[in-house]
Amino acid sequence: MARSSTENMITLMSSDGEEFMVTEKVARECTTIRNMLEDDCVITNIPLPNVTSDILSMVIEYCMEHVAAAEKAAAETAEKGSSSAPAAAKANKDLEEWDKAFMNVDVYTLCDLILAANYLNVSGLLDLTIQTAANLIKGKSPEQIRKTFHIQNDLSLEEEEKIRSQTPWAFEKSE
Amino acid sequence: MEYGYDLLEWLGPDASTSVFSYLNDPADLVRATAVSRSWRQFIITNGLSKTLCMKLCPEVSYFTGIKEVATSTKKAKQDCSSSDKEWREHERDHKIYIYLSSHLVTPRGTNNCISYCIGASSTDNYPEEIIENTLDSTLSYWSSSGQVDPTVLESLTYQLNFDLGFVDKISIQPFKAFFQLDDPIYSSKYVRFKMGYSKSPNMSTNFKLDQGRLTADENYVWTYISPEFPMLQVIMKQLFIILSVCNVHQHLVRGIFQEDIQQAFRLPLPALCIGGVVKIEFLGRIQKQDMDDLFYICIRNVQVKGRALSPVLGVDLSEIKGGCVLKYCPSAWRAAVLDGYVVSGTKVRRNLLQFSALTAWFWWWFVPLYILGIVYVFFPYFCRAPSVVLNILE
Repeated sequence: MARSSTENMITLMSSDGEEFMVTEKVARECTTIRNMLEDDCVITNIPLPNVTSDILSMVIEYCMEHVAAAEKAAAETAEKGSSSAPAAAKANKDLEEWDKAFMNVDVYTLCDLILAANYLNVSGLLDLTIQTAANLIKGKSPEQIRKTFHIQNDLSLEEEEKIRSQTPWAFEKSE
Repeated sequence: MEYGYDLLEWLGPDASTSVFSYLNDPADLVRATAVSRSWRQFIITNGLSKTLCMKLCPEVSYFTGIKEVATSTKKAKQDCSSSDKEWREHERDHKIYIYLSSHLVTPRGTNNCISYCIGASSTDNYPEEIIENTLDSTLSYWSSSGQVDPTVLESLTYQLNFDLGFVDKISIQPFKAFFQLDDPIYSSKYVRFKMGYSKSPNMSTNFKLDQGRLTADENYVWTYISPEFPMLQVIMKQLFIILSVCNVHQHLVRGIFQEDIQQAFRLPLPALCIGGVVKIEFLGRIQKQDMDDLFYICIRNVQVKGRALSPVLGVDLSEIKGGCVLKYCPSAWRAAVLDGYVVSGTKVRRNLLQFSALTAWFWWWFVPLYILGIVYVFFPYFCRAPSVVLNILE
């Protein structure tokens, strides 16, 4: 029963009406969808009014990659009887590399991905995107942060000077 | 790309808070407050500096409130609107927690800050071997009473010269009994440090003569308990076992490694000491005295290295039952900022860099030269070695 349910196909519908067919296993990566499925077993078509098609396709890409990696690791463990540490470490590293490449997006996409991951409750993707956003702030000067996030500086020169003079140690590393 | 959209509005408060809580350096948070007015408002009103400070230093959660040490200029500002007052309070808290966290991440000059001794868990000979002997590095020492059971815990309790400050390092020098056969060192297996404040402020005068009650745990609130650190003696014992397998005599090794040296225990992160009481616990005895076959612990010198947060920050322990209140003096804070006291950390860091560059230079040049020198001098002997061995055999 459990085996057959993993092969069920589910249709996810984005806010702009595009439909995505995914296996139930991939859809279950999203905690929000998993909860829906657990509440009602026969559901096959899920509308997601908060997510656009391009962002949803990215989320699905992420889920598929991580499900595939988990399946591969499980298969290897079953084959050898016990998981070998170097192989697991290599697989982890590969997945990290993939995550890193996956996060090579502009700030707007990143923000949308954070919102989608938050709404669909994909904990791995949420961690990854928030960490990426935080990395864009780490070690940067206020001017660099403004440039990255396209923020207009509405602080007066006086206010900025005040912050700098009160905490000069914070501004030494970045400039 | 167009300007004018707001990241925080787009992400919403929850996701924005998680982004900022991934920042681990207070400098990053400070720079983020200088990005725009909305960022500054968001970080300050959501108390993100407190969240960061609590992550870096969990002891901060012992503070139940903040009390401002009133100054004349501050009083005039009291009668403003409630929202303005609320913002001012948030801004003040932000200032305080950033000040606290900046002390955690930038190294600063430290000094020995023991003010006086509160008491020892036991004393063998009074007053020849009292705890006060540990304050200087002369040959005098403190000795615990003798015990048959090596697991009986001993402790030394000290009062620091501040009520609020950071402790970086604690140094302990065990006593080597040079007047006994084989120079035994009465050390312990492990040490552990506790910091906090006494429950009744006047306790030290009430129980002046009852040292056991002065050091009893139930009279203190420990806001920090360190992990256990192994003393050098335990590491040495293991080394002796390895060396004895290789037929190296113990005395030879003892001559090379001075076991009664001062051992410094650097805390994993500077610990916030609320109340200024430090208790050093000695866990597990290793040395028996031949005369009476009892285990002892003897300590020659103790130093607690740290820095006070006064006069900017202090702690109000007068209302202990309601928890401890953080005292903040705005005028002292302004003076500290003006003095460049806050910057001084970076100066220390530069000195450290120079020092490490010097050591690296030393290692790169002198050590290879030294090895080359040895090879040059002894090379002929190496070559002749087989014939020397043959000579001896004949």
